[in-house]
Amino acid sequence: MQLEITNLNKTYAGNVAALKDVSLTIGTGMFGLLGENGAGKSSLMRIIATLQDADSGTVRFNDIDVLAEPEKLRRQLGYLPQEFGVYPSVSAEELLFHIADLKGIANVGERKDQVEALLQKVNLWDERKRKIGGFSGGMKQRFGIAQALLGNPRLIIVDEPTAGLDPVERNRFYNLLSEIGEHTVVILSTHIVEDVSTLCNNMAILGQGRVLRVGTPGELEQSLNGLLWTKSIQKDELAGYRERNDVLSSHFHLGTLNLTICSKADPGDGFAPKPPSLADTYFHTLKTVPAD
Amino acid sequence: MKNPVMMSNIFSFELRYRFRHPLTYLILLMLAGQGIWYALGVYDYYTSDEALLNGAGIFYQCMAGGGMLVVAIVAMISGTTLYRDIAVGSADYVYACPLDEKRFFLTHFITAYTVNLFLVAAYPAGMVLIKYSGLGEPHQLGPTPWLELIHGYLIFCVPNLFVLTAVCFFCLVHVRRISAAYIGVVGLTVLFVASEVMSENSPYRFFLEVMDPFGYVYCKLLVQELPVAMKNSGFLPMTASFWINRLFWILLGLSGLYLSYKRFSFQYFLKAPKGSMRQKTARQNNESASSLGDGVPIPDVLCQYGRKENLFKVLRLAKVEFLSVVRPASFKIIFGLLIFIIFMQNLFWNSTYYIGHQVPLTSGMCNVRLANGFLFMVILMLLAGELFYKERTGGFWQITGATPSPTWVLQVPKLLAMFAVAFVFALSIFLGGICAQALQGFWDMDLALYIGDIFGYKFGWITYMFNIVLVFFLAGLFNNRYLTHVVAVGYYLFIIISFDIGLIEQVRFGYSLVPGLDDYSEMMGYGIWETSSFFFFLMWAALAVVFVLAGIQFWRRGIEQRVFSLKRVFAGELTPGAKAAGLAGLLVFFLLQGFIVRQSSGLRNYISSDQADAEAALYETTYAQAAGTNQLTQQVDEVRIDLFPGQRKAEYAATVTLANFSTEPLGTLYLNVDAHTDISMLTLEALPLDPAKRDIALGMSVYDLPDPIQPGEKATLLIKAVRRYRGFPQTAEEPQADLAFNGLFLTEALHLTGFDEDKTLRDNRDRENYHLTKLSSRLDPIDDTYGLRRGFVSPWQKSGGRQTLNLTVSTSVPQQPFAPGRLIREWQEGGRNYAFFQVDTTKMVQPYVGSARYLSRKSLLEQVDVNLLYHPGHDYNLDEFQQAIEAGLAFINTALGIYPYSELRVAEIPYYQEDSYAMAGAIALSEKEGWYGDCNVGEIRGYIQYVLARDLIRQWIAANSFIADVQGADMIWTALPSALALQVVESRVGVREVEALFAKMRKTYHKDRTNEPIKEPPLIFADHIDYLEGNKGTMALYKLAGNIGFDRFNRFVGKWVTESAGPLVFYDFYEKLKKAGGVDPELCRLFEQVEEDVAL
Repeated sequence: MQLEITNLNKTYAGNVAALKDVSLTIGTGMFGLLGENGAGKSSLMRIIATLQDADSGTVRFNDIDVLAEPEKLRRQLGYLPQEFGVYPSVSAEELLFHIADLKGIANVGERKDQVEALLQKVNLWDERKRKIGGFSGGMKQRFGIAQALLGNPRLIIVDEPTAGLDPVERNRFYNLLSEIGEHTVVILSTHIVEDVSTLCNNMAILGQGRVLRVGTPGELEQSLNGLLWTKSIQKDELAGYRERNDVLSSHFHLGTLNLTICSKADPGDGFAPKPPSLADTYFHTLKTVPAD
Repeated sequence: MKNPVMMSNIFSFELRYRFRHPLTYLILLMLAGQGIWYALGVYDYYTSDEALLNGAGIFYQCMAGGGMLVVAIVAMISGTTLYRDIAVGSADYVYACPLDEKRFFLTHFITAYTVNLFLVAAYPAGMVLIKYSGLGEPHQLGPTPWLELIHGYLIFCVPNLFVLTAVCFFCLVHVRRISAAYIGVVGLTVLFVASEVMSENSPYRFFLEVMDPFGYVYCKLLVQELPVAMKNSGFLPMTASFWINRLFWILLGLSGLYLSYKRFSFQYFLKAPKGSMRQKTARQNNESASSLGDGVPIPDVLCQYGRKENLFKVLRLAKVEFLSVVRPASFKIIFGLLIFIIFMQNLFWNSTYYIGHQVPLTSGMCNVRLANGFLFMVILMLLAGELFYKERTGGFWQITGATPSPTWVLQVPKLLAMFAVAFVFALSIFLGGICAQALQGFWDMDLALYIGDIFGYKFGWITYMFNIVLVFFLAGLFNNRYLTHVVAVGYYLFIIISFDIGLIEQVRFGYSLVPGLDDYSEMMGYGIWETSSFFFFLMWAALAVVFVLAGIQFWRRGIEQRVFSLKRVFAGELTPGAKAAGLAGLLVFFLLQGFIVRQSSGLRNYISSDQADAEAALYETTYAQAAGTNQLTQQVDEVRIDLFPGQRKAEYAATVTLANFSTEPLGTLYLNVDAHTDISMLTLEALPLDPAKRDIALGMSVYDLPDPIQPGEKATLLIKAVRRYRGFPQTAEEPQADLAFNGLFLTEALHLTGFDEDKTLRDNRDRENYHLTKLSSRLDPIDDTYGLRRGFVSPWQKSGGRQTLNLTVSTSVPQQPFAPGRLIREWQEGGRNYAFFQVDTTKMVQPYVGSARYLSRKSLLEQVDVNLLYHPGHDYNLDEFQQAIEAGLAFINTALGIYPYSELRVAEIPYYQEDSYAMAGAIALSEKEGWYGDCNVGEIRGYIQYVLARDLIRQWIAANSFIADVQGADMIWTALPSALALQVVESRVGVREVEALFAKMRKTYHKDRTNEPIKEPPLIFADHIDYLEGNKGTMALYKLAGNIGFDRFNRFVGKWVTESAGPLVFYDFYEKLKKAGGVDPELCRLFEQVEEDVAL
């Protein structure tokens, strides 16, 4: 199974370019799509999910031309949008039944079995009779995950799936996705680096509508090997360090400011070498993206 | 710390918010448009040529009524002003600001009220624009009554908007749901509609005037009674009931506002009401983070995408969609309210019948669908719009859009769900009707009519579906929820109002409408409209199919929708077959449009009112001079008419004697022959005549006579002709009842010679438009020699002398023919029923014939053979009819003279023509004149007695003398018999019923005289106008009779009618009566003057 995106372009009204010549090849397993807000992730997700037209380019899933035959892809698709609504006056179980029907699960028994299994999977079994209008954000998100998995999809697109989930739920979701990702193509769009590094075997970083980096999380991490240096400084010293160094990131830890800089040679001045993380690579990639 | 500038900040923020939104400007435009339309609509009810299109009375009425748009806007603005923070979720931080919550509440109220006042000001602004809209002729427009306009805005709009806004806030604060605000406004509207519906004939005027929250009933009733000058430029008089109404509703609004003010607090308002979504959302999910779901396998499933499976899926999904509409409490409340209105209308209001009630017939129950049709349709269209956009509104579209179901599988279930909701609405009307009938112990339920009306295409379930389909199409086209609502409801409003005020006449331009839907006759059913409405249904069904397919084609899943994009036309998911079906539907639609035009306009079953006016004007300018000199008396000797009701055809032959009473020889014969009649043979003195001219549009055939008829000479004319309707009409104006399938009554079989004034424009307003001289009177002066020779009752009446008319009528079995005269013989031949009548002892000659499926009840009353011919099932009041006839005959025989006929047939006819026709030995009486009145109500018994006694007395008068066609004729033909009939009502039924009839006459006179299209004459010169002789004339004569003594009056009438040598002229009657002495001079003012203060 393989999803192949070739030279995809999308420009909105007002000449706002959302995607610029995006090409990606995504195989079985979890694929992470990392990028800032407005990087084009959701546009790409919606185009793959057949909810938006591209201006040019192609998207193929196995032998399906997604842009030309959207209905064929939908038969193999599970989609969890970044933001979605529900029918508030309908129970979770009823709505899952409804969506299962839309997904083509015609046999009532099969529909019932899968809905029940998914309700248990996402821990909504006890709440299945409750109207979704009364669900909390996390519960609604779990409902969204359940509906995406209906119909045993072979391509699953999840856009910011862990937003609103507490750590336990988030962990449960990771496990669930990992389990499913063994046999399907899962695209995980997020701006949380940890999600990608934890779950994905392949990833891409998007910025300003372009694919900036592609690879495994490990490969991307290692690309900065030997180039990163760190030091704890005072807050008011930051401006000076910025002038003198290529500052990658800075964050407070236990009251002090930890600075990470990028340098091919030892910068001295008390900096210590730092093993790179995926977050460092992400920041570094975004920093080096050429301006239009 | 309180924020001191809060009020002005909130106020200015809200104003900026409103007036930045394009919808606000759309609302302003729509309100201005409504101002124009409503003013035109009110003006349409005034026929006086002096009434102005931009008169003050019209403006007052429009502002009091407000209209649905005003109500909807107030609900929307008021509700959202206070609730917006809750709705968009900003309340959590806004309410946490250092604000004075009471001032916050008051500021929002003032803001909402101000915005409402400002927006609604566009409504009177629209009325002002009429003057510049080009919609009226210059003489129809006067100077804008600015002061009256401002006065109307102050006394109606300002308080009404206050009450509406206060009720909105009261409901919103106390229930804490936005739907409550809407329901509050709907409740007020229901009260308004109920008051308005009941006001027409209710004796409880004061109560209704106070009950109406908008003051419209008060305004309407008062303006109707105002003289034209006051209507045009006077300030609205404000009587006690006006002040009580205003005070009551303003106090109610203030109380609601005060209670809301006291109740409102941030904490309270933020707290979700019990059972609401807000409350449930706030609940925390307390489930344990157990490993319940871990390790549960997801079972495999088989997904199917076949067409058959999709069809089943559509039905399953439709059920879910249906439940999602009907489950919410707001739907249940609105629906419950509608059921209540329907039931109450069926039980009480709908049965209003002239001055009392009618039995609860199924047709009356079905009329509820029309009375409430507007409200039902708008609610259904709004619900449909909401459902079609439900996924987008709720943000669920991304999930459903990514499923493999085709678009039609996603959208069609919603359509079906709305069809089901509409069915529930229709079912509630049906059950409401059945229950109301059963509760009143009425079991003659007509299930076929129920089903046809309530579930069919005559504004029933199918009509609802057509309009839902329109919303479906617009939703697909615009892909914008608000735009869909505005365009769908706006279009519907436009169509309804346009038809109402006559901007659009042809029903083929009103999507989903069919002709004649509110013109059901118990006897005739829908008649020819049944045929035309079927073709209209086919036409709209074809268009609806196109709308459904286009709605699916245009509907785009996902984002980025452009209204105008070729991609939407050529892409989409419709198969080529479906696209071809859509194109075929469009083709069928246009073919049917063409077919309807050909069948209606092409065959002159419909002509526009403008064209009719133009033709009437042209008829006058073309023939007034030439044909006006054709002064012939027309004596009909022998008529044979073969009726074919099933074919809407009459074949007839007649022998007519023409006498030239002018001083010139007549070499040309003008015959009024309309487009539906073909003369197959015409001979004069056995010489065949060929038409020199056949003017189909103006209905005139001109013949050059080989031998002119010399002055004083007679000539015998033999006519053979066929009258037949082909095609069908497309509006409600043409019932074609003279050749109805059942209950036909043919009065125009024979053709009038010469110039027919009835075919000319009779309103001075219309005459002015066509540059014709204004009429000073509708009848000739009392000394006009031509008028004195011409009969008022029938043009076929001969002045002086005895004549015999033989009438042979045949009709198709099982119908039974009837005609005036003695029934000499009845027989069957060739599967047809024949009857031969002879009119031989009267001066009243009317060659009128009828035919219907009748049942008969015979009796001998006062030595007269009475035969009541009634529609099967209409036997409710036959005993009452018999008693009334007996009393009427007894009155004539004792008080006036001798009833002239040995036989009397009273036949029921449909209601489309005159209320009654008094003929020689026969009365054709409209079905609505008591056949199914509720005789448990005294007024109805009084009315039946009144109508029958009046027509019997008419027969007596016309049999004994000749009523000249000059001023005052209808005082003799209508007012005098009516006044005499009131004596019978008083003696047999009671004085209370006379008072009830008086009240009705008084009201009709006061109301309708203000629409006088020429100029109201004094009674002695009354010139045959509906409101005058039958109402003021009757009351005046009754008072006069009472004044000089009924016995003396009756003796005087008896002598005058039977002993007058020449034609009867009312002026002579009045003068002789005055000379006889004893007439109160004060009463003379009633006859001789037209004064506002004449007490009736």
